[in-house]
Amino acid sequence: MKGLILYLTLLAAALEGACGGGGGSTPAPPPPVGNFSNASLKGQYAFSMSGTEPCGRTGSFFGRIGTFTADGNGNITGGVEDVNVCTGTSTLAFTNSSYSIQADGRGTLSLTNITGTTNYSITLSTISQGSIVQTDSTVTAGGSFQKQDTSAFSIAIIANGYVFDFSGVGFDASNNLVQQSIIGRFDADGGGGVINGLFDSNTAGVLSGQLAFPNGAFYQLDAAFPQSGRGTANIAGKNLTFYIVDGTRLKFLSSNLDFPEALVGDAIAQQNTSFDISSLNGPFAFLIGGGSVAGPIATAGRFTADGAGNLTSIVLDENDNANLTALPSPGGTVTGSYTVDANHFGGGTATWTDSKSGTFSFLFYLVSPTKAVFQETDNNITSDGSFLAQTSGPLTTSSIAGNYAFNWNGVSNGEDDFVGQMAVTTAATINVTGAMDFNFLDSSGIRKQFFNYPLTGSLTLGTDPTGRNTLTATTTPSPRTTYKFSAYAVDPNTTFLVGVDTSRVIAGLNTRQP
Amino acid sequence: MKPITLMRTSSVFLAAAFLLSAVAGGQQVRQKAQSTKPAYDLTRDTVLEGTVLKYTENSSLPPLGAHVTVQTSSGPVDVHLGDVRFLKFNKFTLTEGSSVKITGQSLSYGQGTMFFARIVQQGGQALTLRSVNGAPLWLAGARAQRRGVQKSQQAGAL
Repeated sequence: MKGLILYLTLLAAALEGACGGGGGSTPAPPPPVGNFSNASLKGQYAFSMSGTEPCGRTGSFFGRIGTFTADGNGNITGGVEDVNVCTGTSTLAFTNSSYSIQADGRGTLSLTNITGTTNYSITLSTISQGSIVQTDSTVTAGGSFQKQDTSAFSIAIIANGYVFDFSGVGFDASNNLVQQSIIGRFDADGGGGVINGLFDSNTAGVLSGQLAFPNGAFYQLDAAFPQSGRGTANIAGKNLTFYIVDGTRLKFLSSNLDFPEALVGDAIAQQNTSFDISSLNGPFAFLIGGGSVAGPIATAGRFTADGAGNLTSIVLDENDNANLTALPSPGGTVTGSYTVDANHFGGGTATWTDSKSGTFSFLFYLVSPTKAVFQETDNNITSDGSFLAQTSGPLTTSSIAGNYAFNWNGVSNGEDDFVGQMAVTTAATINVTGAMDFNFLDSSGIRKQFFNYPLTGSLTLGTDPTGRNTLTATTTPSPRTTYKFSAYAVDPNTTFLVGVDTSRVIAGLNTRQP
Repeated sequence: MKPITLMRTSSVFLAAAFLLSAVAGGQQVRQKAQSTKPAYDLTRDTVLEGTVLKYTENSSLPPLGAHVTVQTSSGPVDVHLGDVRFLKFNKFTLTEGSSVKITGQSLSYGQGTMFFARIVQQGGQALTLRSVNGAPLWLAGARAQRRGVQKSQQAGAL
């Protein structure tokens, strides 16, 4: 099926990026075009991903975070990772590992530890970050990686307010392990102390309400891996391992102390300001993913905040395990409102009601007036992601032309993950060409990997390009498949995607390459 | 900790007071809109009893996943079971013509309604598919067994 929920680990990249085989035969891909090479991946990178592993002959959620060092010549010279799988957690060092990068920024990465070798397809959006998909014969996962600032590997550098979004599986009140999303914020004091911690958890649709962190919050670096930026923490009552990207970003994964719970996510430095209702002012695009009572769910859209508590120009597409909802509904109207918490820490609520499709409700924590983590709070839905200010227009056929790295996470017969690169031109019709690797579970339950698969398609701007646009992408050889998306542009460099097919639930991110 | 602005400092102090009250009171009360999405409510659970008319492991109709059509005394009912791999993992196979008892409830979904199964029973075998809040239990898979899975059952390199 179709039962796994949709995790958008890729969105961690969006919060930063918006600023600026197995079974498949290998068709002839278009010759890669671009300025990337093995030399583009050089230095130390932190990665995070979540996905599905085989465990006891069924699929099971798992997470992976870590760091690798690339030498610019195709060799991984070191690194370490933490994995949280159904049998427990492990910390594993890399040896004898390698990578390759093509001109279009796509490439492969193989990481070897004492348990064997795991394989990945990657696409660089810049030399500092990219998307990653695990492509092993039984395991798939999707996520992102960012270049680490190794000079930031000290506890003193973690001295800021941070907004976080963790998602995965956690215990509900009946001690069942179910889908869970936790968003919130805290201040790190530069010495391992945590104050002003606030969070909201959504455990299979059961909301905690905003809570203060329980006693015992802390963070510390791990002396056993001083060159990795690895540390341990207790945030929002959860025991976690983390890796420092730099002082503005940390990557987290549940540690062995909380097993079998497993949460994955990032904390992003929060702008040092006193947030209020006027902090949210202007147009925003959003993307969230997770699960509902029916199965996986993904939602993307846009709204405009007026700085006074009102939301207008609300458009969205929701795919609830293949049931599609679009707002405004035909003949309907949408009105909305938002609040920002009186404590000035950037938490808030957003709500809108379509006259025919009903009410959608959310929580958020602002990273800044232009970015936030976003969590749906409707009945039986656990879904989270982010919203970003729509800026740097205008959005025109010519302004969106260019090369994009993309990462899609989906669920059809099981979890499917895609990573690739597409070129968008100003052509009137077929204006998208590219190639991708994907890890796919077919209808017979066999996981297959496909590499260098060409795709063609169209990106078509809507009447109002800040609203719903459309992207179709078709893989040209067998399995010839057309993926249909509603595309919401953050700006000419970043686009949120939500699948509008009735055979899968899929969400993704397009990020412009230089 | 980095220096913080005076404005923020005051808000921190205000927040400290808030936090104390939040801890004491458990949580901040926010105005929350009444969700119009269907809520799984355990008290509304019903039991379907009948025979299996049709079992589909991977339905192409939403919601995607395993469906069973049950012939009840009041007619056929289409039931969503969820991830077929979870059924197989628990060695649960539905066969056409067999008697089945399904606990769950009908919720609005799409343009109509769908019966979402929480517990499915056939013969002497019962399998819980969803939590009391309707949350799919197949997500965690074998992880939910809490270290009950042997290392050998996790295939491949970590």
